[in-house]
Amino acid sequence: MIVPLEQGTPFAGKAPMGLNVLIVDDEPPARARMRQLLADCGAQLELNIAGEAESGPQAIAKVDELKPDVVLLDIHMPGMDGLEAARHIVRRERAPAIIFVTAYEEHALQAFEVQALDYLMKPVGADRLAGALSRLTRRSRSDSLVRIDEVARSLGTERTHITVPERGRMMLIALEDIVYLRAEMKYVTIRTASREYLTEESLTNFEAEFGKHFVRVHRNALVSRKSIAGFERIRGEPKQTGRLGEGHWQVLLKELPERLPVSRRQWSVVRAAVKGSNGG
Amino acid sequence: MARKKASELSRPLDSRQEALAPTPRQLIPDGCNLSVVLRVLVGTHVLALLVALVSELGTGLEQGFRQFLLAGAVLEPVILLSLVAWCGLRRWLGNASAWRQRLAAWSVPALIAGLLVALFQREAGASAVFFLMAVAWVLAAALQHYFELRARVFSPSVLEARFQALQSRIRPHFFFNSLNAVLAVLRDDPRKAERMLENLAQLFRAVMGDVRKLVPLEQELDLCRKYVEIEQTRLGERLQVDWQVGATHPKLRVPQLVLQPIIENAVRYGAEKIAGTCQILVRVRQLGFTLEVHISNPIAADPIQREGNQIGLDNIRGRLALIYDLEARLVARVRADRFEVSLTLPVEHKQQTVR
Repeated sequence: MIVPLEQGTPFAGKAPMGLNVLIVDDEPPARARMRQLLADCGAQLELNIAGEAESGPQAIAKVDELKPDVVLLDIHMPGMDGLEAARHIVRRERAPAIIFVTAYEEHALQAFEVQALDYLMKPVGADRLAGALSRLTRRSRSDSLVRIDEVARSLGTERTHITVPERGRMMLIALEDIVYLRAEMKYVTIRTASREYLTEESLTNFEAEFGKHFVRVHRNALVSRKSIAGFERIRGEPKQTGRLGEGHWQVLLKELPERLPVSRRQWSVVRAAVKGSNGG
Repeated sequence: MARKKASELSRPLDSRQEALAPTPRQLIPDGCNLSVVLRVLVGTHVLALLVALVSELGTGLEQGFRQFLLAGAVLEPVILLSLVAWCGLRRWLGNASAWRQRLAAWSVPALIAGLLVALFQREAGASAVFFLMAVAWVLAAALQHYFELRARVFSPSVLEARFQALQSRIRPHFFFNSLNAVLAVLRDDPRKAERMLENLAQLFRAVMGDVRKLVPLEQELDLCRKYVEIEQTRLGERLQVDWQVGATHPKLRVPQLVLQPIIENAVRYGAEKIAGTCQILVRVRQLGFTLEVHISNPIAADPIQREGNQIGLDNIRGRLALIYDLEARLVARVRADRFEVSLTLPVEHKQQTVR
């Protein structure tokens, strides 16, 4: 499980100040126990408890705020679980090392082994924790990213949030806040009720991962199923022949006054998808 | 069936019968048991309807239904009186030989049918009366045979295997997290750690015990409270349980671990999946001869997290079917963003263990 240190950022270099550790667990006693254990490890290792978080989104915010070296991350948490939180954390610049902590995961651990990710089993022994922390290596960001994404894919878990970089910061957007996604030139615009974000991820990727939540209304647009308020038919422009053009449909949105065109090719698919999700 | 099984199965079998599939001692169906009553009524009425429809094929459906209704006027009093008679005979002839019991079970409905027709339909000829008695005799024999076979299917060895399969298990996730929580409080609050270990021990004793055991309702509720206490240490303020326990018969007994897994389910799919506070409602009350239990929990809005709620319940359902047959009911449904489980059990006062 020991991976060569990435040049220039070994943890050994940090030794004088010690490792800054962020504890993430939704259960208060589990966090208390981890504090005790870290205190016990203090004899062997230079450690600081940077802070604690009790949920996935809070962990991500604390990583941005406290810039810890290591995150001890519980996997089983309500809402965003530890695995998803890790996927967002490793996308940060100078991402901390992650050690997963779990009481019992039937399928996940095998996947972790395969991808050589560090994990500890609760109840954790002080020796094991010290061992894991002293062996710690800062992997290259892209390496961790690939490994964690691979575990998530093999477990078939879906993200509940997406991470978008913005002016040097990473913004976390809840999937349920997204009204639509529209491809424009080389970027995709993510529209929520309050604002817009830009991302370089492709629309096809979004559709592949979140097909359950979005429906493709046009070659360049995905609309959240729950945001569709209805459809309106737009009459076509008069043509030179004097007859009216065929016209097209537009999606009316619940959260926003703007409308999105439905392509002729997608119309039947969209109608079926919306009917299906509303139960006819 | 419940009473029948309970009394029969606790009795030692004699060695001669043990070699083959054991023959139950009581061969007269229990006419006082709701499941038996239901099976007899549905069985005979479906048969009567078919016969009426087939016999009136030429004259049309309407005539068939009319015939069925007329037959019902004879059928129902005979069946109801026969059930009452079976109920009494079963207790009276409990120690009689197998064939004597069977003959009694077959003949009594025929006698009742004959008597009723002779008394209230005097215009019917003797041949018609005898024909009716013969039909009643054959039907009674068929029904008795069915219940005897059913009892044999539920013989002790078969039951044993089925109960084994339904033995409760401790969820590893719960086990390790609880141990971790004990370790967390051990240094600062040793008394709390002691209490948690005691509660865990009691829970384990129940889980490793015999799932067929009937225990006082109060004992099962106590186990549930101890379980909730463990979980509350772990989850803190997030888990809240509203106990609404009404007055019940002091000797009321329920199968061991019939309520705790439902509450565990509520914690697992409620408190563990929802970030905010999760209020679980437990309502227990006795209505006449039934015990009603409602347990509900809020559920995550995410449909993926809603799934799975049902799995733990199937185990309880299986055990209830083996112990109470049709007399117990477990219904689960989603209503207004809450998952609700309703459990109805017949009230058992007797000190008994289903074996």
